[in-house]
Amino acid sequence: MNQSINLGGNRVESHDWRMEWIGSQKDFIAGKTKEAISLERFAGVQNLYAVGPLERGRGEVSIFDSTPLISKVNEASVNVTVGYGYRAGFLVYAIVKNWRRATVRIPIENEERLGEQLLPLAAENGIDIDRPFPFLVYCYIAQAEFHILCNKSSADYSPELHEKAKVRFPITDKSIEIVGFYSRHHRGVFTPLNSDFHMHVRTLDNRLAGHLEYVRWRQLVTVCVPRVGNSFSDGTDDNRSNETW
Amino acid sequence: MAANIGNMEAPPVQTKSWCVQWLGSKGDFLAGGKRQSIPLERLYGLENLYAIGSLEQRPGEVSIFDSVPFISEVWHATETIDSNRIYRAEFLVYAIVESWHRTSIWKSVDSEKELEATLLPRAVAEGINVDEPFPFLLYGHAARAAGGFFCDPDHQRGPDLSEEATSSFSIEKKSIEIVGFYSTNQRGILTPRDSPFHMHLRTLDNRISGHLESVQWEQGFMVELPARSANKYS
Repeated sequence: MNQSINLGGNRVESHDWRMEWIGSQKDFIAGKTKEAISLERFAGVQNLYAVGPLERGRGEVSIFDSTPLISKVNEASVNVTVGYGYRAGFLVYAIVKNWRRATVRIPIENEERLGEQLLPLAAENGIDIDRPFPFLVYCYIAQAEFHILCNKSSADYSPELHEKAKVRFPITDKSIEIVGFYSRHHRGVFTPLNSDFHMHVRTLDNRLAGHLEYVRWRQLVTVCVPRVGNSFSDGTDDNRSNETW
Repeated sequence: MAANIGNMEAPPVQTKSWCVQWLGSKGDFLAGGKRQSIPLERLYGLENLYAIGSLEQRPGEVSIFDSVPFISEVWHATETIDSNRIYRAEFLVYAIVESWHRTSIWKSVDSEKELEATLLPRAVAEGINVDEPFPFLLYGHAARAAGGFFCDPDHQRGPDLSEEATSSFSIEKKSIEIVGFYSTNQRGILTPRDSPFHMHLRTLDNRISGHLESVQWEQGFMVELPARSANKYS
């Protein structure tokens, strides 16, 4: 990785890309986040992709190639703005300079089918799929659903507040881009407790963005995984938290 | 890297991780000059293939995005569709690109001049020799785009083809992907005589594809350029 920065997270790194995370979903939901993460520390970082919730569940952060899309709910509608002047409750991010593309030509109905397409592609391109990695998807979709956290309470954040804060929106017949992170070993860290994927979506017109819950693809789907260079080095591949790393 | 798919008229522009080759010329195609065609079947199985060209003896365009061919044809009302047709291209420029470097552009771009000013510094930064042909991809939500299918219903070639025998399309506020080639020194060969760009588009819903003549972006878009060879990194 020729961009030398230290943003202070747990790390998986290869020659051409790196992935880090700060905080954990488990702690965020339990209201145990020690310190929210200022997005301003990422301003100026090139080739950055990230997902996470805003602190205290006030919205969502989705960063596509260093452009931070901040999603909030405003009078039952989605409001997307661009800016680094926010703080995240936890954040998983990657810096990826170069991508390998593949086109999936069969319908993908759920996360399991996505995994069946994504993992062989990643493995063929030299990614160790036993370790976390980021990916991108763009295509035209039939149907998707995403949520934006909209916690208006001033009480301590909790699992109950977290569930209540989710405002769900549909996407139908739109072109979208997804930034996603995959790991078999980080449920509750940077993927939800019931999934190996953490994905955020934006419509290509940037009117909608948020945490992707469900998507069905019928048409051609372009999937991108980081290009792997010549040599690997890695920081961690387990569930250790910031404190122990 | 090079793919040998036919009797190429020009040597490939080639680096370790990508190459550009072409067959025939845009100028010959439009002027009805000497032609050599290639069955698209021959491209089957090539991975990471991106190409644009014109069909032989049919009004229509070939656009290949990541080895997926899109054929745009203009049909006569009286014709029947032959599903067993083997398509041949008589002009084809193609690239095989293993990996791409992505950059997002967050400004409006309304003309080829502006696109050139946006694209070239990024290509140079990526180590691409912009004096030689190179491919690129663009995608995003376009404010407007217009293009056409070069067609000659009587299959008679002539210099007026581009004026009179073009079927056109225009779209507004659609998400599109563009595969394009830039070349300053191959005008009339890889690109039209009056432009250093030759681009084809597809709407992301795959309803329209064809030769792109103009595009306007109001909200920005993604640019992808061939990535440097991994071996060159340090």
